[in-house]
Parts: sequence; structure tokens; C-alpha cells
Amino acid sequence: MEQNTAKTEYPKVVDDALLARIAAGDREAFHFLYQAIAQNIYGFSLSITKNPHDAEDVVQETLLAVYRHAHTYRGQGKPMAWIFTIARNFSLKHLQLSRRVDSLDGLQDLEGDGLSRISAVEQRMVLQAVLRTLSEQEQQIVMLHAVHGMKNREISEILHIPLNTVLSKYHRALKKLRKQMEGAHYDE
Amino acid sequence: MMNDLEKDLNTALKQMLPDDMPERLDWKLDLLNAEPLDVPQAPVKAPPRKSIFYVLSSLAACLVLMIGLAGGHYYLNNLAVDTVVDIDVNPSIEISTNSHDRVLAATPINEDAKLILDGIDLKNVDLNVAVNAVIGSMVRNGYLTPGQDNSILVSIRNNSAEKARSVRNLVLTDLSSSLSNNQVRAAVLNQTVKTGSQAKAFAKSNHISIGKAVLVLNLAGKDSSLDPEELASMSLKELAALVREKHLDISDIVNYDADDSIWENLSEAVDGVNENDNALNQGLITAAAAKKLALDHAGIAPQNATFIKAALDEEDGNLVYEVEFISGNIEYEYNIHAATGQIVDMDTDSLHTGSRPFPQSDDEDDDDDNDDDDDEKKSQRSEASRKSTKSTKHDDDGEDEDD
Repeated sequence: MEQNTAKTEYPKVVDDALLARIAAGDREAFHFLYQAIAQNIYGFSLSITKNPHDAEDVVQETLLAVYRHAHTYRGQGKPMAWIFTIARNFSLKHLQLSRRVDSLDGLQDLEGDGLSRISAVEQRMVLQAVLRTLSEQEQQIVMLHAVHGMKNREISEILHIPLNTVLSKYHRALKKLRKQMEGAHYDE
Repeated sequence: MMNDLEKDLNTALKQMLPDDMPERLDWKLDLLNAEPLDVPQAPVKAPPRKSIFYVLSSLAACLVLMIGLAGGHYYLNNLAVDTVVDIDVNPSIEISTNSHDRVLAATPINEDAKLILDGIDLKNVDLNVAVNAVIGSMVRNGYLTPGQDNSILVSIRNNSAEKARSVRNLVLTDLSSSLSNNQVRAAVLNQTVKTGSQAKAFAKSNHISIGKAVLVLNLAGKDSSLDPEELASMSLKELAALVREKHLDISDIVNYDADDSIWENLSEAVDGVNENDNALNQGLITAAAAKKLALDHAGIAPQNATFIKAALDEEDGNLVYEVEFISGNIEYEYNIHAATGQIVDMDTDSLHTGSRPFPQSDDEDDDDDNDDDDDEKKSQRSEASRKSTKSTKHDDDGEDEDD
């Protein structure tokens, strides 16, 4: 329905038009979505599940769910809130599953060689600092904030916390991170 | 807009994602597109491929034999057990495979299983062929009945989570096409299990597969009235009936996939979101969020509260959530502003004496949630309560709570 306005334009942002294209089965739009936010879904899920395998699964499940259910999206300009709420649901589901007796999930140790895929030392340090020094909620705020184009208002909706709290917690988290990263090249 | 820190974070996260993720997604989308959306039972694989697999697998078996005769290391390498797949209906069958998902042995664990495997040689066939043969034999021998609700447990044992998951997906796909070829409807429970499972001894003494032992022990952990040995003697169908009858929530101990494995789960997660859509669209908090705010304010852990109500209502022109729950002997009533999440009003009632024992009555309208330290304590508290309750479901989203 909104296809007419969207089809000539190459997607640059994750917006309602992009979701409309995905709903129409447009793979190019879907690939753009992957490139734009897969890593953020991963980081967000990691802060909840604490497990790289689960986070990987959540990325896949979330994006497939978005593809399959984009036609039901009625977000009025808040596609991120919709997508990340789905990601949150999947993450919580994985969290429940990982508490089973004898479960394999949760076996993977992130602190060990889990982060070895990241080649640059500084980038690895940032992720490590996020996971080690921030509370779960701070982690989620930072991970969501790192999504290009995500608004604080959307973060507040996804996490069910007031806008003011998002802002203050975000700034406090950044301060903590900068302190932790002192010596690296980050300046105020 | 984005600072250096966030850019680095994004780059780091990008590298954590497997390189082949886009291809994997594409592959799944192809499957999805090939599958009619409204028919959940459609087999994922086209049946003719089976016969090709038969030819390939027998060819492969010959090859393995030839190389083995030549005394190559390849053969030895392929003899090592990599993954064990337990299939439980009432017959309990253990299929061990090598790293190439080829069957090394199919072992009957109980008497029923001996009947199923009688006259079937599954050695060296591909796992999907074995799954197909086992299901076929179970149908022929009356353990799976077309036109009835059946129940199957599939347990994948491998110490690598990644490998266990990939074998699980393979088996579930094969199982679903095999079931649908045989016109059998079945709820398929599935789980991945470590090889050095604690359940080993219990499995052995009760003549059930390790996979079933894990399920049974987990189930017994849910409800103290359940005797694990008794559960062990029940068929999967009986277990499923028991779970239904006792209204046990088993979603945290086993993956429960009726008919179609992946897509049902997807719908479930998205339905939860769409239920909240109305609230989200109007810029309101969800009922689950309102419940959480009330619990946090009262300082009560979710597992200690029984909810009576959490519904939107209009009061003085404002939309509020009326949240009512009981904890201990006390009934709590909250009105929470649906747009801001502020606690507009609250009241407590002792269920016995009618007095008001709520300890923080001077603190009622103090919760503006802007106080960081306060929030921190709250999130720690709810985190702690979540960790302390292994079997109690802590559900932030509250889709399936008792309101």
C-alpha cells in the first residue's frame, strides 16, 4: 500500500516505508535492515541473555519474525520500538530456556575466548567494558543508543522506563565507560 | 550524533556476528517463501529428495567401506560418536552419529523399542533416513496413530551447543516431513543436552533414554507431588496429558513445538508484541509494565504476588491502569497513570482484620522514577528475585499471567 512512495527510493533509514517494503517481500530492504541493526539486536540480546549463542539465535529469530510479520506492523513511525520489543521477547524466552537443568545454553563463556572474533583491541575493550562495568539496564540503554537513528523516546518505550531515566542513565553509563577506558583515545 | 565509543561498540558487535548469518537468513527466507503461510503442516523438504538421499547414503556407505578397507584414517575418524539423538514416544531409541551425521548405531533402550528396530539396519545411513525409518516403524507398530494427537520427545546430546542446535534443526525438519508423510499429527518436544548428563544413572535404572530422564527430572522439579520414577514409566503421550491436566508450564524446561517447529515460535513472540501494540501506539505503558511498577513500589517479588487485575480504566479524564494483587494476607490496589507510569493512588487492605499494615504509607507519591539510585536498587532487587526463582516464571511481559 505504501509501496508506491517507497519503491523508487533506495532505503537509508529504518522507517515505516522500509517495513512496508519488507512486508511486500522486498529482499533488498530486508538486507538493508540486517546491515543497519543486526549488530544492535545482538548487543541488546547479549545484555539480557549473557550468552553469545543465544544472542545469535535472537538476531536470526527477530529478523525472520520481522520479515514474516511486517504486514502486521502498525507502529506509526516507531519501527525500532516494534523490532526491539520482539528482540526483547525472544531474549527473555532464551533466558528462560537457559535455566533448564543440564541445558547447554549458557555454557559458552564470554569472558574466555568469546570475544576473540573482534580483531581490534580497542573495539574489544569497549564491548568488554560495557559487559563488565555496566548494569543490565545500562547495557541495554547503551546498546540501543548505538543503533543509528534510535530515539530516546523509543528506548524509553522498549525498556518501559521514563524518558528522563533513559537520559540520565545513558549519561552515567557513558561516564562509567569513559572512566573504564581511560588511557584509550576517548576524550570528553 | 553517534560518538566514537558507540561506533567502536557497533563495529565490535558486528564482528561478533557470524559471517554467514546473511546467507543463513536468506536460506530460511527461501524456505519460508516456498511454504504456504497459512498451512503450518506443509513439509519443508520435498519428498522426492528422500530417494536421492537413499542413493547417496548407500553410495557413501560403500565409499566409507572401501576407504576403511584401505586402512585410511578417514574411516577411524568417522567411527567416533559425535552426537546422540534420543527419540522417545514410548519406545525409547538412542541413535548415535558421527561428525557427518551418519548413524553409527541405533540402540533400543526399552522393550517397545526392540520391536521398532526389529529387522531394520540403520548403521551407516544418514540421520534423516534413520529418523524417517524409525517414525515409519512406529506408525506401522501402532505407537504413533494417524488422526490422533501424538507426542514425541527429541533430545540432542552433544557438548557443542552449535552442533547440537544444527542437528536439532536437521532432525526437526526431517521429523516434521516424515510425520506429515505418514499423516501423523504430533506435538514434538525437543531439547539439547550435555553429553556428561547428571541424568545418566537415573536413565539407566529406569530403562529410559537420557533425554527422557532429563525431561522427567525437570518435570518432577516443577511439582513436588510428581514422582520421577512414576513419570519415567509413562509414555510421552501420557506425560503430555499430565502436563495439560496439571496446567504445568513447561516452556522453560523444553522447547515445545507443535507441528511446525520454527514458525509457531515466531508467531508467539510477535503476538505478544502486537497485543501491546495498542498501548505502545498511544504512547502508553503496557499492563505488564504497570504491574511491575506496582510490585516494585510495594517491594514485593513477582513470585510472591497473585494478580487479580491489571486493566486500563479512565479516572478523572486520565487513562490509568488499575492493578490489584495479593501478597501474604494483604491486598494491594494501585492506580498507575498509563502514559507516565506515575503511581496516582494506592491502597492496601488486610484480608483478615481490615487494618492497613502497609509500612510505607508516607512514601506513597514518592515514586517519580527519576531517582537513579532508587531505580538501581529496584532493578537489582528484581534481578535478584529472578535469579532466586528457578522454577517460578518471572515474566516481565506478563502475557500469560493470571489477569
